[in-house]
This record gives sequence, C-alpha cells and structure tokens, in this order.
Amino acid sequence: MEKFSICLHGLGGQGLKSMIQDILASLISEAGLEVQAFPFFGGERRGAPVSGYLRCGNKKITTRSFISNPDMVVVFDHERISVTKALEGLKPGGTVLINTAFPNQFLGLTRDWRIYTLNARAISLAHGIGSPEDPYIVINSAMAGAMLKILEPIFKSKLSDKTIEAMLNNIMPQKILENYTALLEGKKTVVKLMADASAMWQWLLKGHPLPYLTQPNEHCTKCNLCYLFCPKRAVEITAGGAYIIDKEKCNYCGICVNLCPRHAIVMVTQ
Amino acid sequence: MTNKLACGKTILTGNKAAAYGFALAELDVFGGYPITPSTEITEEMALLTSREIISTTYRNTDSELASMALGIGVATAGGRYGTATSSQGLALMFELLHWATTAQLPLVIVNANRSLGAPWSIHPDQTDSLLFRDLFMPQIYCASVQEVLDMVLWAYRIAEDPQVHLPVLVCLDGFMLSHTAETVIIPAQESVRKFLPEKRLCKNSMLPEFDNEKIVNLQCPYNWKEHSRRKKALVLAMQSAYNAITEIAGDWHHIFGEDYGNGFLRISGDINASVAVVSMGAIVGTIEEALAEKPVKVIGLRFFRPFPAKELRNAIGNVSKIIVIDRSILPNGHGVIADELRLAGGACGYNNADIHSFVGGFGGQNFSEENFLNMLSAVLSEIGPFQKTYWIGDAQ
Repeated sequence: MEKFSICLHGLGGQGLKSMIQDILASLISEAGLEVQAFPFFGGERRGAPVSGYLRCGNKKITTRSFISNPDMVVVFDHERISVTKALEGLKPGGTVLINTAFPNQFLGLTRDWRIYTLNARAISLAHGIGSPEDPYIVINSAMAGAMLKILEPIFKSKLSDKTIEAMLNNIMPQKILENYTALLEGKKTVVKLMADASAMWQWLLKGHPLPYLTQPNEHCTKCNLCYLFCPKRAVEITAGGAYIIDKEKCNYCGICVNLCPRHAIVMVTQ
Repeated sequence: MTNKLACGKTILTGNKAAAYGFALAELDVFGGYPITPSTEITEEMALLTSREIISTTYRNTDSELASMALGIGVATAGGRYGTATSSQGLALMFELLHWATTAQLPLVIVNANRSLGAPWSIHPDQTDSLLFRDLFMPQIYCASVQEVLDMVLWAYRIAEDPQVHLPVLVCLDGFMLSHTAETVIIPAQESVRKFLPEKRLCKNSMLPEFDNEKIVNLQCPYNWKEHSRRKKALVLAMQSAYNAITEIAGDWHHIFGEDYGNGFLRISGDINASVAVVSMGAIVGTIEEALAEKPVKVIGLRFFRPFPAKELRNAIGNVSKIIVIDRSILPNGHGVIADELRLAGGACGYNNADIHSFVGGFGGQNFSEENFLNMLSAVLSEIGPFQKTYWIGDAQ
C-alpha cells in the first residue's frame, strides 16, 4: 500500500488524540508501516472541536500539511459535528466511520463511499468508561477497535488480540481491561451500511414529496430477499404467498429496490 | 547514574522525543514550567523522574523566569540543566536568558515554536525564537521528530564544548512536530555516552571549592577593558560553535549511522536545478514532498545561529532564483530568513540570484502541497514577487 490517509473529527475529552497517537500509530507501526499522526485544535477544552490526521504507507512520510483529500473519514459525534462538512474532500470509494446510535439516517450520504457505523458511546458506558450524564465520554477504545476491523483488509495485516493487549498495557495508566474489552466489542459490532439510495435522498433533499413503492409486480419470483433485508419489517407475505409492502411501516430507505434481482419493486416519485 | 530507558524503534511525539533527548543526556536538573504546546515535555520529564526511570532531579518552578534562574544556578555549580518552553514563556525568560548567554553558561532550552501574542494563539510560527536571534545563543530548528531527539543531544555537545560554553536553543514547530507522533529510534545510552561525554567543569563560570581561599568575582561589575574582553569572547564562542558543528555531525554519523551531512543544512532534490527553495523547520518536509517531481533543490536550515552563510552559498550554487519561505515577519515587511539572506547576499555572493520571499503560516494557517506548487509556478512564470514579500494564501 503506497499511501493511506485518514481525517478524524471529534470533541475534546473523547480521546481522539490518544487514539491516533498512542493506540493506532503504535499498532500500525507494529504492522510494519511508516506512520504519522497529529491532532489540531483551537481551544483546549472539553467539548471543543478536535481534528486528527493520520498518514501511513510503505514510504517515509515527510509532509506535514493537513489532509484535504483523505481515504477515510471518522466522525466521533454526528450530532455536534457536521457530517456533511466532515465528508468534504473524501476520495471517491472512500471509507466513512461514524459513531451513532441511529445508523439509518446516513444511508442518504452514500455515494460510492463505504459507510460503517457503531455505537461507541453505548460500548464505553457498558464497560464502565464514563458516566451517562457526561456528553463527552472517552470512546476511543471502541472507535479504535472499529478502525482496526476496517483497516485490517486494507493494510493486508492482522494484529493478534495479544499484541493489542500488550500495547494497551504499555500505554494506559488505568482501566486497561475495560478499554481492552471495549476495543474488542468495537471490533465486533462495527457494521457496514448496505443500501445505496443516494438518488432517492437527493430527491428528498430538494424538497420533493415522499415517493411511493409499487407493490411487487409480475416479475417477482418470491425469492424472499426483500422480506429478509427490510430494516422496518414492512414486507409482509400473505397466506396466499403474495408479497405486500406496508406503507405505514416503510421508511423509503430503498434497500428492497436496490436488492431485488428482477426489479419487481419500483420507487415512484410523485 | 542509573538509567532504565528503553531503546530502539518506537512511536513518539516531538514533545516526548525532546524529553527522551533530555533523559539520554543524563541531566542533573530539569526545571519545569509547562506551557502549550511544550507541556508534554515537562509532563514526560516529571513522569520519568518520579518513576525513577532516570536519576535527574525534577523541580517545578514558579515561572519561566524562575526556571531560567534555576538553570543559571545549576550551570554555575557545574551541573547539566535543561528546560522547555514556548512563545510567551520564552519571552518571559528573556532577562535571564540574556544573562545566561553573556555569562557563558552551558544549558539547553527546548522551545516548541508558537505565535507570540497578540493576538492570543497556540499555533506555530517561528517569531518567538527568532526574536532572540541577536543573542549569543546557537539556535537549532528541527524538521522531524527524530531530529528533535538527536538535536537535544547535539545541543549539549555544542553548549558544553570548552571553546563555546553557551546556552543552546532547540526549536520544534508547535503541533507540526510537538504533537505529531512518528517513528523514532531511541539510541542506546552507551552510544550516547560516547557522543556526549560527562560534563566537564566550566572554568570561566565555576564556583570555587568551598574551602578555597581565593575569592572569585563571577559577574560583578568590571572595568571597561574586562567588559570588552568578555564581549569579544562571546563573538569567539559563537565562531567556535560554528566550527564545532561539522565535527559533531561527523561524530554522530560515525556512532549512530544517521547522516546529517555537514550538520548545518538538510538538502534534497535536484542538485543541478536552477531554482533553490530555502526554508526552516517542520515545513521543509512538506516542501520536499510537494516539489519532489519538480526541478528544484530544497534546502532546510537546521542551524539559524550561527548562520551558515558559507554552507548556504555552496548549497545554493549557481541557481538563478531563490525562493525563501518564512514563518516569521519583520517590521520591514520581510521574513527573517529572507532578510538574513539579503543581508548576507553581498558578502557571501549568492551569484546575484533573485530572492523571492514568501511568508505565512500564522495563527494555524495550513501549508498544503498545493500552496507550494502554486508558489513555484508563480515564480517560474515570472509573475511572482521579486524584492518584495508575498503572503501565502492571499488571492493571486
């Protein structure tokens, strides 16, 4: 791999700086790559915006500019940070990782980007890191786990859990076990958003009225894919074996439209 | 002296690398008064000493002025001293910094370059340390995290050279180096001892033994003749520092294998190019990468004081255009390096090449590769500035 660059956007107190410098940089270096990681911030306060930049590759890195066209963007908090702004400059085919409890809202952002999400805040809280009242808890171990999971196939290198544990032991003053289990859970629970409904969302964003879905037509082979993948369970199979879409439950995500091998479901704009 | 420092390849930020440099130099005393962006150096020294990984005495001081006062005391008593600061902190040190230079006390200050207010800013520019370019104090500017560690050790070699005996300032750009994590090789303590022997006592400032009957006047008022002698000695000391650097670079190459050339400059690119780009500090790496495919040579100044006029003349050679990129600005509207080059131009004969001066990088301004490519094409197409200063980022 020649060169890979990542932009990260977080808030003071979430552990972005130590994640890129102490956890990721060490592990990427362990995997045999050259690495450079630096943060940028204006105010040194909890909750203030923090950006992070990470470059790695086979060759020595000498440049020190901010990264304007990254291969990957990571957003630590989608409510307080503008995701659209964070994604400016992301390369076509790039990778996105967002910490969120509600992943479906980002379906509309997909161009040809690969979008991953995980609920890092929930993971941290479940492992005794941070308190529920605090809006800026440390989520860096879960995020690091998710990033490692995403980066492993890109870097063609897999780090054993033992290596990761040894590294955490090396850098962390306390809560090592909590962070280790949170990291592993982050690795396990990160998911890729599947559907590409960008055209539909572009349509909606322009203020057009909601579209409607046709019911499965004569091309339907009853393959069951739409029923299996509908996130809202809006596809119902009648006693007679017909497929019906419940308009009340449907959220127009377009997954079934994209999925149907026979184009039996069509999204019609009004 | 005990020292349980791990050596070998690791990931360090510029700040931590500076602290490891201090640790390997086996200081007697470190004076800490933290200030952004150099805070981590003080924190790391406090950690290394409190865990007894190194046997340095760590002291919290009540201001930067006090940490300089502590340094004057330690150096006068013959100890090895180091401290770290940034912008406003360095400015607060000034009175005693001048004292330490003119009293010829060997000590090392690491300065993480940061804008000197007003307005308030924590972002890097080099005005804070370049403000002190008229002191008798060698100034080193690092271009990578590895260099930060190495240059702290060089600084002690220069400071404690018997012919020199001066404080040395090691500068690393705030955030661009101080907060950047990179691969660094920590040298083994035994090799460092070969490079930097134990401190020899400094005869021109040392306190006499307690029971010595001879009373010594260290820094009290002298007559004008002695005062002038001391001033001349300072000029000679700076000249000796200049003479020592190439040998130090050679020793470093011999012991550690890393080749820093003649020590003064970092040179890359097309040696026969007709355009030379001169700059200093962390942006040199960005310029190198941005202009890697272009017919230019990139020259980074590692030493600003003593100013390597002769080495620069050799490195610049017969180019027709010199582009100078400064992260500093003077009242006359020039960047500091450009001003220095124009001053030295006649005496050093830069073959009358045009000097195109660019300044910028204040208040957190990013220098992108594109900035440097635009700059180069402006200069090559003759629409660029000549004998005036162009602010990077202004509309072209």
